[in-house]
Amino acid sequence: MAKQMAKFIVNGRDYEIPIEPRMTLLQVLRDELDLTGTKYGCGIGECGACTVLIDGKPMLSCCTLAITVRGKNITTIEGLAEDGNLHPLQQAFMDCGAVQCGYCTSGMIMTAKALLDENSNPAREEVKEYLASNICRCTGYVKIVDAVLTAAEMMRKGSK
Amino acid sequence: MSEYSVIGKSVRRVDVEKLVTGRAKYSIDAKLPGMLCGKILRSPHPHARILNIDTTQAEKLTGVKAVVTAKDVTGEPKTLFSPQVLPLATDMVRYIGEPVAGVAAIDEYVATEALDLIKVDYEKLPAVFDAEEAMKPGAPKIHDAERNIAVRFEVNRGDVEKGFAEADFIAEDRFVTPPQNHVCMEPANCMASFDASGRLTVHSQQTSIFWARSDVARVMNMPENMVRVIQSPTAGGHFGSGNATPRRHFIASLLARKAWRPVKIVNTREEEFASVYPMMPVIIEVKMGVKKDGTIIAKQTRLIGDSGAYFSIIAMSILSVAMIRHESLYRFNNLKTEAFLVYTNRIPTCSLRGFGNQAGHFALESMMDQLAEGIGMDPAEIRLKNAIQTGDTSVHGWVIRSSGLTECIQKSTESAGWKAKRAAKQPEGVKKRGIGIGCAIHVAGMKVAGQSWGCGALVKINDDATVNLLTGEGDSGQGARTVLAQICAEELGVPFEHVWSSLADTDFAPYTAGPLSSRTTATAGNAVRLAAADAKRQLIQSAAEKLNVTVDSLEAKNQRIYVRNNPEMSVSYAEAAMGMNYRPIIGRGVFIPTQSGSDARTWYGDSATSYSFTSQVAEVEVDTETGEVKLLNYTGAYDLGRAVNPMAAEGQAEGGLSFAMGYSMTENLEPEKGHVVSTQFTDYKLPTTLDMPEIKPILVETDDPVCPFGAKGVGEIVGVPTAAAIANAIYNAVGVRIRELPITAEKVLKALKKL
Repeated sequence: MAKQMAKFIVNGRDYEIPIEPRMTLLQVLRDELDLTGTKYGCGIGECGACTVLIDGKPMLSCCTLAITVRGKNITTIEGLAEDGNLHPLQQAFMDCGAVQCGYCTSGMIMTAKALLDENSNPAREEVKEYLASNICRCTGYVKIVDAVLTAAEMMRKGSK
Repeated sequence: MSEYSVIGKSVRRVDVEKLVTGRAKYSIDAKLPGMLCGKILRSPHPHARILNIDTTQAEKLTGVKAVVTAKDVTGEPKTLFSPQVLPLATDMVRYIGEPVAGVAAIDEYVATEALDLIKVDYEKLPAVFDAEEAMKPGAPKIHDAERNIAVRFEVNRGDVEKGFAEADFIAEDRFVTPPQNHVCMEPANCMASFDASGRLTVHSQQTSIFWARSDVARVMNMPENMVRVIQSPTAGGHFGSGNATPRRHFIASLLARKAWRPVKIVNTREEEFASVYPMMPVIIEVKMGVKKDGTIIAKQTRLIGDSGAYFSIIAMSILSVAMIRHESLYRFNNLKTEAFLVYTNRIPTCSLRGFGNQAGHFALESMMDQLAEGIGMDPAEIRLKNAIQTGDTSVHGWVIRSSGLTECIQKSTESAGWKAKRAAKQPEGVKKRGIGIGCAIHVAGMKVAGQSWGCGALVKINDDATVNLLTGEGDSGQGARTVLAQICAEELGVPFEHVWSSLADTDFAPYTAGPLSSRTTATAGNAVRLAAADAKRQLIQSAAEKLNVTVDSLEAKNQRIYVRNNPEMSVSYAEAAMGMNYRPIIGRGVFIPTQSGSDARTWYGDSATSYSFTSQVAEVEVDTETGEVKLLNYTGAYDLGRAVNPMAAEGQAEGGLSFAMGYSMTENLEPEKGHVVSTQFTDYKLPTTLDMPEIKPILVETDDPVCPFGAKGVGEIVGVPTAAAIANAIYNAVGVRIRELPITAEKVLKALKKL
């Protein structure tokens, strides 16, 4: 399939690269931009491992054709830390034992970020609802939910 | 106050920052210049003869760089554990999904197209998909084995007839446990590449790296020292899938050799469900007798394990575990057991967390409740009555050096409010509540008679006194690198942060079997402790030479080595370690379990470094109109000897619960005539955040005498009795017993006679 040049804004940086129209955003991030933090878990939008933020909204990059998100602000896990400072969610996930194999972690953190950007003081049940479409095989989710609530508290107290 | 500085602390996992920043490279992320995409052509038939394979059209497709079949195998096409399993099928296929050919191409699209161009002429043969059907006369023969029975076991202890004669109550039942898929979130993948010296490097999630090296070297007809197997720095899950060497390792290596370029094979999620070797389905028929004071007096069991299309030593071991392991939980004496490992035209079964122990316990722990009811005893009481104790030798010769079983039962029931809830009246309305218990025993580092099951570790102390710990124990998320670094740091007397736990790489690590039978903490932990102690001895020797004193006059504390009677005379660890001035400090530890091991004929013998215990209490709500079962609360008490890292141990308990909830209630591969129907997450359902109950893990520390700092490990036992605890809770709620997993709403409604 013939490639065409396309412009992407990922984590605040501009990229102009040749892509095939059939490529998903997940493929472009991982194979063309070497941003492998976003993961392939199922490829059909059922596990949440490929979640990225597009203009702040959590989207499944495996089900998004790259060509449809040209010019939009795409945030991946690699773009979360600012000036080398970890985002409170990243810090909390580490401190609360919410990471075991880590494969679901990128998707979990990006989804949780969308939640906390929208609701700075969610109840435990709200966090569980919001993360219900992110599958984890290792942790049983308990410490993941703890980490999101911990991060929310850090953010309310003004941690950066 | 803890006597330890690092053991018992919930230190942050080694190397975790790379996991939250997206920097971690899993093997699925690994790339090499010139890398090709590998794909596997799989048999669409459950049983067929291969008459011809024509790869010419595929080879001609632009972008295809290599196509391989069994003809390309130059070495011995056998693996350590599965003598029947060939890297690629030669003249027969015996299950849907069996690899027949491999293709390497410039991208996934070309590789997929090339698969369609490979022409295979099959002659279809009759197939059988159920183990009991396969044992009947006239069933299609899958191998040269009468009644498709690969192996038959028989174990007798005491006098079971006499036992039943003395029993005051006898119960009999039949239990059916399903296959389960590991569902590692990282789909299985493997990258093979040759370097300029002709050395082959295989990079994957494989955890038993030395077995993989042996197998790959044999198949590729290469000396072992020319093959390097690396477990990815982080693997996205394991759960037993990385023990036996999967065929993609051979296929990728064959393709890499033919194309003379690196080749990576990545399973799609569909391939994961449809072709990764699952947990063995087991049918268990059991009859048990009990006296009215609660003493279990007899047990007669017949097991049928579905090996799938091929025999493997691992499948045989799984059946033996399902058969034997639970019988050291209580003080059994009269047993009669018969077990069959049977061929069917289904995917071959292999290791999965629990290793068959969950099947054996589902049957036993369901029966214990039936016996309790039969004599009017509380289910927790009957377990306390029969619980194996520290100092016992079990009916199978297991020497119980530490048993926290009684404490686990007491703590879990007390914490769960057992007495009050068992006595409580049912709420009005369609939703009923119940509470049930399940207990389990598991091994910590197995030992087989006649084999060593040992492993090694190396501790290198650098010029600045930081430490490189070399073991073959990789990390798939369970925290192995962290726990081993903690053990090393404690023994050496250095801060945890000063220990770098290396990656599992056959070039640098000492031999190990890898994570199975929960051996990492108990066995590898002991090797690490020995290596660290050896390194410390060398440091002290070095200090003695530098200070010109005797070794006996020295003490080590806070990373300084000083003369006991004159503390001013001292050197730092760094000064003692400087390689250039003194000998380089390399601590060496080899740990070989000293137990007799389980005899492969009699099944008698002390079978592991140690034994762990658990008691778990499930509280459910059953909707009698829809049959849906909701897990409300879950309390688990885990005798893990010592919690090296309490937060990590809790994580195992919580994760183990969700893993076992899937096995018990939601996961169903739905094999249909050898075809896996559930190949997507919408069909093969894993628990989500919304399914998880309130969980309370209670860590019980019995300080095992032979385990490192008393720690036995906890990674597998966490999910072993869960299915029974849930089934028992459902019985308590609505008076029906589900004997076939997974427990679904349909099954509950059928049992309630509403369907």
